[in-house]
Amino acid sequence: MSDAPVVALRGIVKVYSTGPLELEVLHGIDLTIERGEYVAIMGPSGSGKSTLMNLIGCLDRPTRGEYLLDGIDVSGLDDNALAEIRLHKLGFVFQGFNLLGRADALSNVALPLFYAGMAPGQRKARATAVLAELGLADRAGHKPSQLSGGQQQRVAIARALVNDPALLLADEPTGNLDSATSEELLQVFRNLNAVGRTVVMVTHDESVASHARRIVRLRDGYIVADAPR
Amino acid sequence: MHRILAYLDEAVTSLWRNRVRSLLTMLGMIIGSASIITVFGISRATTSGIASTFGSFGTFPVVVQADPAQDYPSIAQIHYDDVRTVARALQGITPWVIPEWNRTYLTTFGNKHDYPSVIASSGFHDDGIAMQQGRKLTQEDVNSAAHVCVITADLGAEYFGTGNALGNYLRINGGRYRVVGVYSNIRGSFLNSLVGSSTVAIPYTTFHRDVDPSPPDYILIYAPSGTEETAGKLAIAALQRIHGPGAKYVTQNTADLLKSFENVLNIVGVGLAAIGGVALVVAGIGIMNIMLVSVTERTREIGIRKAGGASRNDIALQFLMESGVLALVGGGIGMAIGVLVTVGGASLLSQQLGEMIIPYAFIVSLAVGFSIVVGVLFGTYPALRAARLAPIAALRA
Repeated sequence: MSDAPVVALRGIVKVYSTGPLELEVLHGIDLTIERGEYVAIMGPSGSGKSTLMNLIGCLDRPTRGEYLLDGIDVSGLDDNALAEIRLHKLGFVFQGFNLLGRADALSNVALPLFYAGMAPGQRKARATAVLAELGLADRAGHKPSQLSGGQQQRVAIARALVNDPALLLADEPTGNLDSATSEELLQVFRNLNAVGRTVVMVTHDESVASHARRIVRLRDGYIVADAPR
Repeated sequence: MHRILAYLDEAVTSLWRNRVRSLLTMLGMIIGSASIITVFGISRATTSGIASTFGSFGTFPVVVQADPAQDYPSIAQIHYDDVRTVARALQGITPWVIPEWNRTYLTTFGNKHDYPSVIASSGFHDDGIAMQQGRKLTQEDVNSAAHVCVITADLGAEYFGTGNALGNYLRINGGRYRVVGVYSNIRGSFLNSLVGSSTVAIPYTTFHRDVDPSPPDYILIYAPSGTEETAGKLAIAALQRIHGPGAKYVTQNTADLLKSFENVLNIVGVGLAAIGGVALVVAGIGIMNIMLVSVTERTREIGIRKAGGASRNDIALQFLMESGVLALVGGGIGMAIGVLVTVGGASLLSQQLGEMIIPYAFIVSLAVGFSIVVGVLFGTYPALRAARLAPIAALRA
């Protein structure tokens, strides 16, 4: 573990070009997120918050600017190197859960361990432990279709945590859940943050964002507000 | 290693989930592989069968005859006494120079009669054919122009049934000939018909003196392997010294005939294999097509895997494994069918063409090799396409 910030963005610009059209979505974002923070990135649709989330998550590359993730300059890395970063530094939780439908909960959680090259026995032990931490020990053998929405999202969180990432990224994690389940799930994130996890959550929902300890507001590709709650 | 096994497991599971589709895709591989194996297997086996059967005859003669396409064939007419001159010219090469006639005669035993072909023979060379009863003609028979004959198995059965043929007398064109031997049946009935399944062999001296004094149709030269061409040329030179340089002769070398027969078989085999190859290419395109469909269907899965840390190689390997399994399993089933057809076909053909050797190692490696090549070749493009998908685009699908 380094003392460097988990996320350090300097002058990040993202331009989407479709044929002759060029659309600049982010206009020079500067953002630093320290270890142990719980940050909500907010903004209306079209504000660039999803683009920012994809860049932070190394799912996409900035057009210009510098990005240090856990002290590593990732702005110039190629696809394979980015895959390696995603594997070891990042955990994703998506709005639509994004679980493999035909694999059971345990296999879904163990997926990143497989790509990390861990032996089958160790994979199973580690995935089982993380599932248990999230209260799903008895659901290990269930397929996603046999789980409730809240359970599915907790499986997704377990998968995001299984490689012990530097940063947990959540994109509208409660978007597909009812309010009671959302509340439970946000509690999970809070607990994770309480034990030291760095969490970045993208949402358009004020009540969801209110769980975070810092809120970064985006509008039209600029950060318009950045304040502790 | 456990990684490869995991990918394999993943590939098999995924193919099994779409089993009807997988089976239909494999059908192309099955047909392609089965046809290639059958074609190569049977053509190789046939060649081996023909070669081994011809081999059992021992040496093949060079046939020398007057060229029928000359203006005055009569001046080139081979006379019985020419044979001795030719034999003298060939002294250093082979002693086995004999005249031959191509005739059939009424041949009777009791009230049974037939018109077998009667050939002049000598005891000089070993024809390599096994005897069912008795012996072959000997030099002694030839020297004394003995009234003895050796008959083929078919003829033996026709005249004497299952009983003993030896010591009985056949009446050939009026003369009486004691049966001293019965040939075994040649394994390939096709070659039986080539040689003649109802044939009576008598010493050529006897043939000339007592059956037909007319000039022989050919001269047969049994020359050691490699000297056939020289022997033929020397024989023609000797004949031209007798009949004048205007007399034209042609030689025919049975070994060459066998070789050209094998060549024809090989050409046919290559042609058929090319068609099988086309079938395999079509099968490969089918695999590529279904893999592209699979990549499109599973775009989201690819996105999830990439978000989970899968590299391009991981994704490419996963899809390559699937196309590889499709190709190998299809090729394997095709191989099994092909081997069965080859074994069946060879056992049918061997009745006609003699004992065959099926080149199992050859056809198995052919099938496996082709399947791997097809799987990898046609699986690469879909796999690379999957691997190159941008993770966000894939997740949005």
